[in-house]
Amino acid sequence: MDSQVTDALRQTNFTVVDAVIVVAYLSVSVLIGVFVRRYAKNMTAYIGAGRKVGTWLGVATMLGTEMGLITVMYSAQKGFTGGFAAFHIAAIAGVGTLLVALTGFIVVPLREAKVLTIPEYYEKRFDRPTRVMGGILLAFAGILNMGLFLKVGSMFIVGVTGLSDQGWALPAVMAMLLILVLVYTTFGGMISVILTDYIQFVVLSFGTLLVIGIAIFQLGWTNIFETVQSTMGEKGFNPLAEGSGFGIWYVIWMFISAGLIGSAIWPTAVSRALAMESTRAVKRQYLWSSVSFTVRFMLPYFLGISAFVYIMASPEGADLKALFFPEEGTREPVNNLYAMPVFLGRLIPTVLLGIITAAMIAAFMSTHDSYFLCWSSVITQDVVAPLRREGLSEAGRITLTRVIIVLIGAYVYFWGLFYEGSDDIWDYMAVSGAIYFNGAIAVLIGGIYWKGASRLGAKAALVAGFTAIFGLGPVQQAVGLQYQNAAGEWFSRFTGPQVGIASVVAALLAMAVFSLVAPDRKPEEAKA
Amino acid sequence: MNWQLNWQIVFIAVVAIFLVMAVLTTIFGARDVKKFLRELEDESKSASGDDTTPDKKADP
Repeated sequence: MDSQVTDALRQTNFTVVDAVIVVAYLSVSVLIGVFVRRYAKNMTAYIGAGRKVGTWLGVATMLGTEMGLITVMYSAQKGFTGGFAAFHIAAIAGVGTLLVALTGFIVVPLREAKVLTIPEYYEKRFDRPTRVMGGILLAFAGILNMGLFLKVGSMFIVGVTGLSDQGWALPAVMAMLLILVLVYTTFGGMISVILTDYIQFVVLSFGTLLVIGIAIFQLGWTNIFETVQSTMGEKGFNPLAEGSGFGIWYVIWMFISAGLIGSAIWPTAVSRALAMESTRAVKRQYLWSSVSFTVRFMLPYFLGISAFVYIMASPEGADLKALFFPEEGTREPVNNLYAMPVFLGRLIPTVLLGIITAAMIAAFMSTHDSYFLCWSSVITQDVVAPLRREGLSEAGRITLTRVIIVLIGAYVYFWGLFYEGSDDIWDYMAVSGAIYFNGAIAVLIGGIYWKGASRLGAKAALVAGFTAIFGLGPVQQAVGLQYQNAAGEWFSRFTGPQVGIASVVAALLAMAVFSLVAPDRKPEEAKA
Repeated sequence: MNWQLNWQIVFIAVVAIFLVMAVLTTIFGARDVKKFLRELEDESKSASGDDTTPDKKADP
């Protein structure tokens, strides 16, 4: 890196005082994990917090999980590249969650079924092979989905502390954070997750609002909108405008992925509903969480937009313009994921920067531990345990879950170091998550709301939903869904959203057609 | 449709609602945390008298 880049990226208000705040905050979080270990004696307590979570704690933990550092980073990236037009995703997420709250769509029947995981419901409603199949698909998609969490979260730390020009910094921060979150999660399970989620909710909510206030004060409310208008034009506001990077297919895809599925099907959100003390509490949790699901996207979008305005229209950020928007042929642009953390490192004063960084790291931990816990418990409960003839003891399940957590940790470390994706992180996550949820939505809707749904229909829907994998860039290149032009640039014949929508429709059709063609035998028929 | 004005209104409304929600969740969430810990403690005490719970064979 040349000296211009180095000097620009190293400017930050992060000092030793901030580092002390971060260490103190994280130490408290780890101590809580160690302290509550004595309560995690069985699987219901370890992965379901004993189903004792009240409404307000449920609201806090929902936001604590869903507004992780990865969300903040990929949303800021979307705001940075898409401007206010990205706000439509936040609005859709909020409306989708509100609909789930008002109707109890999927989450209330699941809570009534008293299951710990979604595949466990598959067995109750269909059969054990459907549970194992669903568990394998869910774990595969979920682990693939979180593959970039560690790297992207670490990029925030590296960016905000002014270390992004140091080659050693990113892998070192990744290793440090991973060890921290592994120790913390394997100790206390969901109980420690929920308690630290509450602390994180308080710090992150008020901290983020304060930072947004500072950004508006520094950049100017009118200036922010005028700069986006003058640089991006209408496509900076209208998601349907040509060149906005979104378009009608994208908006429809967001209705499915960020709207209904993000709140009603996505296992880490559903696991919060399953930990609630009653179905009434689930509905109230979702009602308030409709605000959380809007905020978790919208506030980071605004921070990304503010970073864009800071770079494009502020004299203090002018030195960054040549880094993020270099003139053609001069140099490679710096990864735009760094824009928001570098901006925050310059905007927020010392001490507050330490608190915000600590809260962001806590958010990082909160998301990681929830995801680690979710995928590892699915593998234990829904794949390994059902396949073992001699069963698996409670202690054995907890030990196995902890071992799998460590293995997933090793995977995310190496995947983060070696994967070279070119899509926005959010789009990568939506498509990789769809490998699971496209099939799951058909199986759950059919299983809960249609008596005629059959075992074969459920399995066919899961297979059909797996076709969402063809929305991933590297897979599209491998099977010829993308082609290269003479200059070596890749073009898609079908976009990720188009593949995702087609896959949802295929899963729903597979459930309907196969259930009608091969219905389950009634008990009396089976006896005969 | 004026998209710029639309997003301004939405943003202000969302931030205002979120501020209220954050205050309520902070206050009542603290109450839930106390209740949550108390119930876990009670359950832990009662479970310590039941030596079959932690290591019993679970149904596959």
